[in-house]
Amino acid sequence: MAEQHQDTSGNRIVEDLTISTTTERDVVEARLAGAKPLGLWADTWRRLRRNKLAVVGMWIIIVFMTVGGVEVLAAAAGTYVAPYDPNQENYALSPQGLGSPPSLQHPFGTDYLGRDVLSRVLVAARISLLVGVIAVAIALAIGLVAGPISGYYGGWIDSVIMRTADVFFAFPFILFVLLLLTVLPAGFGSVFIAIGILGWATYARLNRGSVLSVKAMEFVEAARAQGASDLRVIFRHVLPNTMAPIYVAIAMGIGGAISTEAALAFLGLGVQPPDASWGRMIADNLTYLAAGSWWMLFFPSFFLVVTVFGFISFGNGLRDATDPKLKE
Amino acid sequence: MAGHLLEVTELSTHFFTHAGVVKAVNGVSFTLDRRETLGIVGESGSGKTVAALSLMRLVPDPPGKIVEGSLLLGGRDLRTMSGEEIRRVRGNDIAMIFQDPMTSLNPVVKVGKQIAEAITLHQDKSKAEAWEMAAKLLARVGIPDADKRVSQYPFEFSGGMRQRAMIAMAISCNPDILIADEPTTALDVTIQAQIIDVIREMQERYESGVIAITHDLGVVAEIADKVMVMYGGRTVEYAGIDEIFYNPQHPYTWGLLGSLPRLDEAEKTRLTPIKGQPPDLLALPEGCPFVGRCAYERPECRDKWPSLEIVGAEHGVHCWIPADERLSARKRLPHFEKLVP
Amino acid sequence: MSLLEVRELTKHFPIKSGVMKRTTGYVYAVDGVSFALDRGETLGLVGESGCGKSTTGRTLLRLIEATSGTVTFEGRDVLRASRGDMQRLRRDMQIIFQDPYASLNPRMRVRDIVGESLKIHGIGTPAERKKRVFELLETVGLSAEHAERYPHEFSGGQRQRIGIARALAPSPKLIICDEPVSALDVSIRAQVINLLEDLQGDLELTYLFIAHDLSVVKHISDRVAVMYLGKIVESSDSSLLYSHPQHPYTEALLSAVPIPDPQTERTRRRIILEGDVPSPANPPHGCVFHPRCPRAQEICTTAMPTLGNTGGDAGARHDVACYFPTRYGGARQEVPQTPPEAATGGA
Repeated sequence: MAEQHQDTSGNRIVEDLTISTTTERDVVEARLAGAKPLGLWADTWRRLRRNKLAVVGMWIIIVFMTVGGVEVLAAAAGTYVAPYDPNQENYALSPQGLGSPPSLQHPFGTDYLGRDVLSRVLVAARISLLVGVIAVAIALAIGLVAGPISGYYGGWIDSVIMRTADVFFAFPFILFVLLLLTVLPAGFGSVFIAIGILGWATYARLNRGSVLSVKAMEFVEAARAQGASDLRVIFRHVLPNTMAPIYVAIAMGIGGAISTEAALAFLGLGVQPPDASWGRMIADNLTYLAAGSWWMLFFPSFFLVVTVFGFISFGNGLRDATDPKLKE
Repeated sequence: MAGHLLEVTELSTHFFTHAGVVKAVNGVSFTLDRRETLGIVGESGSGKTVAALSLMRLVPDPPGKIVEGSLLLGGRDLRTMSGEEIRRVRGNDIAMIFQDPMTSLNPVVKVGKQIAEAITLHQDKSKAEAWEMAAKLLARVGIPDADKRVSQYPFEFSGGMRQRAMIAMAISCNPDILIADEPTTALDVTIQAQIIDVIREMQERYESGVIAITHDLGVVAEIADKVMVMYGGRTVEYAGIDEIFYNPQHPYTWGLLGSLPRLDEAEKTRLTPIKGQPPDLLALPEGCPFVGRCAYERPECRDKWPSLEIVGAEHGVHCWIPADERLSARKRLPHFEKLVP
Repeated sequence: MSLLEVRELTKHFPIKSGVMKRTTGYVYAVDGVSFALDRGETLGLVGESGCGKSTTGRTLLRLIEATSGTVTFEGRDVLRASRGDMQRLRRDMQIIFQDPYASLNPRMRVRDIVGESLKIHGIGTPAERKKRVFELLETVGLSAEHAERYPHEFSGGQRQRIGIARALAPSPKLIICDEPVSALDVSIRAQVINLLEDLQGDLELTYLFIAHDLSVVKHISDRVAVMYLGKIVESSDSSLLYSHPQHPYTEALLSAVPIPDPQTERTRRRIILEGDVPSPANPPHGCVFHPRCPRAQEICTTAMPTLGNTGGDAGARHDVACYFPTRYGGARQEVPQTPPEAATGGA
């Protein structure tokens, strides 16, 4: 009668399929009647806390955002926060052009130009942060307007928007990026914008689904009966109630954008040498692996993987925590 | 008292949630005989549905658990049975009809198959025989064109027919006890009447005991022989059908009866609602859960659960108000002027 | 002049199927409904699922756009009103919904929910609006401290009160109550029914009370109209409808309602209707009720009888749409075909 399975983090969940949902609802609703007021997110937070992987992910995100944020501010002020100047070349530290392995003065070693890897990794964090935030912000800005409008009005507007989204999905990603880069101004910022522009379809489609179910709810009808305009109904009533899956998508999206930057670096797109991004460092340092200079590749890869993992884990945990059907 | 078909004593089912312990059912006792209909009356949070689910051991565990009580079906304790044994009881000796026929039938399995499965699970019949029985059962519960209907999917049935199909499934193995959980709430009133007739017919035919769980006192008046009124997980009063309507002893029962608009009321009378809100199951008092809403509360009500007071033959109430005070209080209520003094 | 006049209101929902989404049929949800409401009275609209009562309510407010017909509120045309006119009408015509859990935006605080119409219509200053919200909450039996909370912190009955406060905010004249107590516990229902009655007296409200529970409808309504498959089959004074029903459907409906009185239940005469309610996508020809009607004759298969006054006692209005209304002993009578709007409503 009861099915046992595991949530995405391996925690045991028991779902009983034989009980009519009205029973549980009775118990839960009666429980809430007169109970202490809980915040809207208290329940989600509690469930999230119990998911160890998600908590780890959350800490990774916090650390990453702090470091990246610091570096972004520093770069805006024209400086950096690191033990050494990330672009300071020092041939003495790179015998035979193969860099030098990790040591006390250079915990992550130095690269083929004698630059301190640790410093470069730290400074590069800002690129990842920027790509994540800018790309997702742009994608959201477009997607969270297109999605609700598409879902709320339906009809030909819906068809047009969704078919357009299909086009964006169908196109080979790299080609689209290259296409966009021909029209956008030069500079690595454009790559981020391009990733963002291509990402709107995911949020739009995701959101449209939620909008379709929320717009049929009575409180939306109630708002219209109050005289609310369409705009007000969509953005004050419908959209806020469709955000839960969007938060998950944002977490995943940031992780995705970061790894996309790395992929594009291999094509020579994005950050140009001598500037550092994790993707750039991986792309540049790949060839040195065969020569035995593993540290040049390892550290940027490690941080990239861990960061992306953090976002994905947290996103998964958030999804599980907001899923009403998963019982504890 | 000779052996009852079902004898429940001090049943307590608690839910252990992160927010605290919910005492959904708290020391409930009742009996049921063949051909008898027990109506369990209560609102949300009363524990009536959880009590029924406890009988079939269908309470999700975790977080729910039957912490106390004996559930004797023909002498065997349902509570201590093994998983294997209780599975044999479910559908076979005790069958349940759920509230919402839309969600209780599997939408992707043909109706006939669902009934046939119930049959082959408990009886030694071949698939062909079971299928034939399924068609007969559908006809028995009044579904026209049963031979055709048996091969259809639930979505092709109307709400009333789905409920009948559920009843057919429930009676397929001649259960000793039929539990109907709000069997008419999701249905239109003209269909309700039909369903109640079907249940009654099946009870006659199979000589089963019926437990009808409902909040609708009209339905109770129609089908029950005896009634148990539940509030906040406890039984506050139980009595025969006439006693409960014409000689109610508990303030909650008065409140329920007084708050009902009646079809046959002569002139316009004002309803007498029960003040307050349904109980918070996480913060139930040690005493009577009706505190805060009772107009006759006294200090001991909150801390001590009133012991059972026998008021008449088969009529018991849990209330600290002394009997004579209760009667005079009741006489003062507007809708009870015409009752038995 | 009646506050609200509805004439031949019709709503047909197209059924689209197939890859090309062509219209293959219609759901005749509301099919030529006419009635009138006077200021201060309560008209109960009663019927089973699929009869069209909820659709009727929503069409009056243009939450659903009608297919045809006229709705006049204080002489103003509702269905053809411009955007601006409709905004003004929305202050006078409000609605209370059935589901207390779905009708409040879970992400809005109570004060925003209740005060939203004030904001939309620009009524008062923010300070005045705040005061009004507190007043409204007190009026419905809640308190000012509830304003900062979220809906999930309240019980079903309390949420319904919040919904009532919201409907009262723009000081409406007409409130459409769409099954306002069906989803509530029995003991809470009486609280809300009493509240609605009190408010009607204090604020001179007019109610269109839509419900399937006949006991509740009888209790609160002055007049009652019974709907079946999109049409009104009977309409009259509340007590008259229950003591002297004319239409066979009304009789069956009344006999099916369980009465909380065992002795009455034992001695009652029951009319059990055969079969199920037909789908409004496929209504029967002729009188929509004839396939289930114990009195059906040949003529009933030809055309739907019009709703006409059978003339109750002392000239009270009692409209029935039947060729063989009970009043005449089930025998065919020439029912005077007085169109509903030509006479004043109710006794």
